[in-house]
Amino acid sequence: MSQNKIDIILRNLKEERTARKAAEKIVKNKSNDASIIEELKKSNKALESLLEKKTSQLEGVFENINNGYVLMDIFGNIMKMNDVATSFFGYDIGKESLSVYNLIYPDDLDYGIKSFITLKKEGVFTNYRTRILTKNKQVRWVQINGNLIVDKQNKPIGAQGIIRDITSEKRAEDLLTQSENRLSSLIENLDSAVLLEDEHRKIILTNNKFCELFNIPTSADLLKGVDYSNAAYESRNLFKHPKEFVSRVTSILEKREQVLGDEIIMADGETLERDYIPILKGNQYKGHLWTYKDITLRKKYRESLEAQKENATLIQEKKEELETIVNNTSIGIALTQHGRIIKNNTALQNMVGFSENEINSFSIRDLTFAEDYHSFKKYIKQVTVDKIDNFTFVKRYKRKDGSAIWTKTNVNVVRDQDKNIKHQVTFIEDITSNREKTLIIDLINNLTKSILGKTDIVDIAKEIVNNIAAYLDTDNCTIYLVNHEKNTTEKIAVYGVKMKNKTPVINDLFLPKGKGIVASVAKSGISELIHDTSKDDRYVIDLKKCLSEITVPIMSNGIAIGIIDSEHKDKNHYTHEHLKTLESVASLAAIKLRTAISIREHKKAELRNELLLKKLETSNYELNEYAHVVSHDLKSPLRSIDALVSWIKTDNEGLLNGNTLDNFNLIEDTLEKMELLISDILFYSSIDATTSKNKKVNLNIVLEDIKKILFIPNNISIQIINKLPLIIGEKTKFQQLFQNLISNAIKFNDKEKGLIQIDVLENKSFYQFSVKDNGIGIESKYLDKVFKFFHSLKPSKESSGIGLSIVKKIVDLYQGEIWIESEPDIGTTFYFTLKK
Amino acid sequence: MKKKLNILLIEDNIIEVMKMDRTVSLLKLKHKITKAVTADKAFELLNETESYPDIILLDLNMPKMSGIEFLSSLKSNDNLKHIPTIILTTSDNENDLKKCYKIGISGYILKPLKYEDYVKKIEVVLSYWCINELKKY
Repeated sequence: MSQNKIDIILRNLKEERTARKAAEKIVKNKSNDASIIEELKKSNKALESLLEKKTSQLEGVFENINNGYVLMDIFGNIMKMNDVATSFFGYDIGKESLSVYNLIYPDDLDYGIKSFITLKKEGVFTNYRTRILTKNKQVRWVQINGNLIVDKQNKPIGAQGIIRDITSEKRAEDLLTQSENRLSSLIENLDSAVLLEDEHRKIILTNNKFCELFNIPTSADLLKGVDYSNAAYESRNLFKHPKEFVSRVTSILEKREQVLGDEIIMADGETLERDYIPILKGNQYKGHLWTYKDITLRKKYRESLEAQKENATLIQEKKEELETIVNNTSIGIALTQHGRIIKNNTALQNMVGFSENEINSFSIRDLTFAEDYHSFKKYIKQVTVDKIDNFTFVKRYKRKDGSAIWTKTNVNVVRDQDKNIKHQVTFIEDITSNREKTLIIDLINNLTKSILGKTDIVDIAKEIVNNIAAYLDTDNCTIYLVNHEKNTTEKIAVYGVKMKNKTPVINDLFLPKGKGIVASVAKSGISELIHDTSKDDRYVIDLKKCLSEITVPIMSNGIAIGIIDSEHKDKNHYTHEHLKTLESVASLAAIKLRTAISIREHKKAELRNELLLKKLETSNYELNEYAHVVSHDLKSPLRSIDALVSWIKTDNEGLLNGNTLDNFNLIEDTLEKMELLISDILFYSSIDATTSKNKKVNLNIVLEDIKKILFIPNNISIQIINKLPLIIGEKTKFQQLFQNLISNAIKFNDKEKGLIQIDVLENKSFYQFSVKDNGIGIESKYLDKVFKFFHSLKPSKESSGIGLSIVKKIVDLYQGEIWIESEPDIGTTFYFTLKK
Repeated sequence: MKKKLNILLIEDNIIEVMKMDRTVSLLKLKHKITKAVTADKAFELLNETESYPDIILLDLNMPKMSGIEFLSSLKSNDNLKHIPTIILTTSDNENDLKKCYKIGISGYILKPLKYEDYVKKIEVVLSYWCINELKKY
């Protein structure tokens, strides 16, 4: 505790002492109350008799009282006041009526009423303090002691009180309270614990900090007046050395001499500093002040300072240790100042191939490739401008042999107190091998890019082979397609092969599945890494003998659709790393190949279809031509025979008898039938051949034409019920279709009045036509035979037996259907549909 | 029927040739009919003679060189292509018909089955060509 603070406390204590004296005086005065009560009792008795006797002798009683005396009735009306009271309040009740309620200060009225109720209940009240208003509006503090006046039946009839002016007393009290409050709040807020005891070791004053330090679970106020003579002993266990604490306190109290800066260690390790100040009044000992202060932090700081001094040697050891680590780590470390290297370690020397001194003669720039320097400078700028303290980036360093190492470089900036850069510590990690992994990713990326737009299986395979061969450091790399149906593998890309030879895929390189490692992988779907092929009896020499082989399947839906295979003349050429990479490539290839294969199959099929179509067209054409040639060859003799018969008849006119002439006529009829047959067969066989382009055909016109061509007997009429539609196709075929049906209807009509009705119904996707007659009808057992070739139900000169077959074939051509409804003797209806 | 036509008939079928001869004599026509049994023979005749026929009657279905092949050669020969050529055939093959018209013909007559019909057709054809103005040599 500083001397200054002590002075303040002492001054406050002095003030307090003065106030206390004043207070003590008041307390002494208060003992006068007892005499007042005596007086009251006296006046009480007098009053009783006064009220009873209604004598005026009371005056004398009032005069005998030094303080103000007031008598009021039960309603608060003032009945009597003595001279003191009259002059105090300023009212003369002889001249004006007065109620106590006029006297009480308005703010205190509630309290006054309550007190009056208490008076009524208990019959007496003492030390009722309140403010009153005098007639000239002065506020005065008064103390009233009073009692109730009852009649003989014990019924209250009034009250009397002695009134004392305590205004000045109250002011002094307030002052004391204020100063006490100030002091206590000061003490309470001290960061030191304070304990003021009187000469009997009763607590005069203490503060919350005191309670806090010594774990006293009450507020400091409540400790006032408590006898603390035994406190040291009772609280000894709070201290690390209880016995010493108690004996020290005892000895201090005995000596009554000021003790400053005693260090006390608490049981919990905290350290307190204690001062003891005796309070003397003249030579008289009046008590003492204890102050306690927590100095734990200060102490620890001091201790750590001391410890640091001791550590200096330890730091030296640590430094050496660090140096060992620095020189043995695999991370290159360089200490730089203003870009110059001032320190470096073995790892860095190994990395770049320069000696320690060589490196120390360099700046960072000397080790940096010109093209990387720009990005490095950007970071440096950030350090100076943005005040960042470390950054990490990937950069290359020049090696002594001119090659590059790839590193992850971490730069840490060390700044002095003014935030200026003192030096930089750079950690350099060799990531060249990591970079190789990146290269693999690049390989895959490049591959992806190069095969992205390609759909041709051979192109894709070529790209893969070219990309991989370089990566695998070999010139033997092949991609096979696996054909599980034919049990073969087909080479579709061979590294180097197409460079000499432009013809891409060599189909004769089929390698039967089941032989060789490729075939084995094709079957198993599991990658193989053969370190020494001479020890693997599956190995088959393909182009030349190789000692290591790596074979990875291109899998699709669990089966190998292709194989990536590579060989190398040396043993142990391929690594597990290679295998992993190839598997990645294979899975990439799988996606592309799957699409490509399906495209390829699709194209193959398309090509086959195209060829087939062409073949079909040609053969159709040829067939058609052939039919014509045949029909010509068949028809020519018929013409010759007819001519010859005709000539014989003319040349021998009148010489031939009737029988011979009949036979000649039969020959001519037979020739005609033969001619018709040949024509019909020719037509039938040429229905499929599209001789002319499809056009919109107006069937109404077709029907008109037919009516003109056909011989229609007079007894037969043809009706077209609904207008016929336009339909797309070959006119000759529609004509043949209707002509055959109508001529049949005419041919097989036996009725007096023959009727042929042609109608059409339109459907969503087709037309349904009907040709209805009232002819002889067809027995149901023949219904399914009528469309058969050469089947004529009624042999006739004009019927070849092919007519309905032609009808059926034309309907089929236009994807329609044909059926018959018929009843013998009543008629037949042919229904057929034609696609729109 | 005053005009006398110089006709080249190219026909391999002997009966067909007879039919033509008989028809011409039946109709009492004075036309001169030269016959060639094959297309090759016809070219020989055309190259030998100094006066070209007025019209050619050509059968299509013939062994060796077909009628259409003969027609193509004829029409690509500047000296001969002017000669009106009428096809006389049993083939009602549409392809043949189209091809012939494309190369260039002056008529396409189908041989009917009945001899009487044949006579009627030939009479019409020949009388038609009789009233045509033909190139003189």
